[in-house]
Formats: sequence, structure tokens, C-alpha cells
Amino acid sequence: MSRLRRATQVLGLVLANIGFVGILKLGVPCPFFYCYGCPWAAFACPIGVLQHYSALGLFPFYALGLLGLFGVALGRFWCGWACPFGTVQDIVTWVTRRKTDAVKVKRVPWTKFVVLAGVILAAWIAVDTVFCRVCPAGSLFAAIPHRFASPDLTFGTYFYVHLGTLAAALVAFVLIGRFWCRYLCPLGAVFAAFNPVSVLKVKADMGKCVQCGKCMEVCPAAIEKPEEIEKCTDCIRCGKCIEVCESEAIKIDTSLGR
Amino acid sequence: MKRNLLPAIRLALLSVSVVFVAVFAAEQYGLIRSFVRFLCVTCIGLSD
Repeated sequence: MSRLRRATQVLGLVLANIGFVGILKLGVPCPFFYCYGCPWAAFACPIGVLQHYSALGLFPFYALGLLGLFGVALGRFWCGWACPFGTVQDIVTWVTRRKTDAVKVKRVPWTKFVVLAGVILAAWIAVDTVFCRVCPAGSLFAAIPHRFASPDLTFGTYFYVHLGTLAAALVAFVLIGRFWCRYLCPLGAVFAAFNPVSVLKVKADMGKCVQCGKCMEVCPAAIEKPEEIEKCTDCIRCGKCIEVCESEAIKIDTSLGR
Repeated sequence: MKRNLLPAIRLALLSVSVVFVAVFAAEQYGLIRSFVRFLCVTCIGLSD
């Protein structure tokens, strides 16, 4: 399953960048966190779109409809299996060869919802995409690549702000696995709201569970009990718990009626 | 007896989402595409 997940993460990154062919720059919000300021971006960042609509005082029916379809189908599966910024966090964890968080921080499920509300509200008040100016994904996928792609452009204040937020984010990723997904991601908050009702779920059969705790040791979302996995807003459906479960108590579930 | 509301909730969310996309895609696609095609250089800290 790990190999398959790595393959889909690479595929997510490739698909996000097929916009180097101009005709493939589409008006479709993607189901992951990727800056449409990237020179090769093919899809729109959903958070950027929501901010634009908020700033313009319009309701983003089409974008919300697409996010609804993505969310009802797979919930936060997108975070674990396709998001390029999630992939960056996994790469940092892999490079540091860390199995558990260097700093133990309690799981706080509501912070990302506050970030989402703040991002939309800030755009509406400032009539501008305020969050884009500090977004660490924008730093990595747009500001830095554009600096190399368009060397005639001058550095501005927000370029250094971007570098600062990216540096802070990378330090956080070194200390805490999937820090962005757990605490701050506004798109993660959107899909988190769909996690309890999504068709694709990760379910623990507590009748089979032997309470060994291995699943919770490897969980990048720091979920504390196997019975919480199914409806937890933090589960990114990465499947690491399924891989380590020797009693085969945890499985992917796609049943429509339950 | 406790009723399982999950299928109904899914169907409602799915229906609303499909209606939003079907009704508004033609109107809003172009605006969203313009966000992807035209770069806000000051947003990413260049040329400001």
C-alpha cells in the first residue's frame, strides 16, 4: 500500500503541473493544496478560489460543488494520497528518518477550521487574497519557481515573507509529521468536514482489535484510539494503520449504506 | 429504533454538489480559469 500511495502522490504532483501545456490550464479547482501561481499549474487552488470569491463578494457555487463531490467520495483521502504539499511533508519525515514526532503535541482537531474561517474572512475584509501572500505552499510551488523562471522580475517584500513562512513550515515538519495537515491546512478543514460521511473510509473492527497500539504509533494524524479512525476529521486515509495491523482489524471500507 | 441517516446525508450532499456544478460551471469556469492563466505576481512576492 505504501508503494501505491507513493505512486499516486507522484501522479498528483505530475497532474498538478501539466499546465506547462497552455491549453491544459483549466478552470477546475483541484482536490489538493497546490498553488496556481506555479508556472506549470494546471488547476486552481481551491483556497485561492474561495478567497477570490470572498473578496469579490460572490458565492463560489461551482467550486464548492466540486469540493463537495471530491469530499463525499473520498474525504481526506486526497490529503494522504494526492496532495503535493502533503508529499513534501512525507519527504521531510522520510529524510529525517523519524518514526514518531520529535515534539509531542496534543491533537487539536479544530485549529484548521479556525484557519479556514480566518482565511475567508480576511479575504472578504481586505478585498484581497491575504492568505496567498503568506502561504508556504505558494512559496515552494510558485514564488521560488517563478524567481528562476522569470529572472527579470524583482524581489518584493512578500517574497521574503514567503521564504520565512516556508522555513517555519519546514522546521515544523521536521519536528511534527504532517504538521500542516493536522493543524493548519484550510483545504484539509474542508475535506475534514466530509470525513464522517465520505464513501471511502478506514474502519477498525473492534471485535478483532487486540489493542496492541501499533496503529496509533504510526498514525501521522496522531489519532489516539482505533475506534476514532472512522469518523475522525484528522484521518488522512493514508493506510499506515492498515499496514501494521497484524490482526487485520483495520480495513478500507467503501460500503454505501453504512 | 435508531435510523441510519448516513445514506440520506450522502445523497443530499451529493445532490447539492451536482446541482451547484451543473448549474454554475458554465458561468464560473471562465473566472476560475483566469486565476490559473493570469499570475498575480505580487501575491507571490515578485515585482511589488
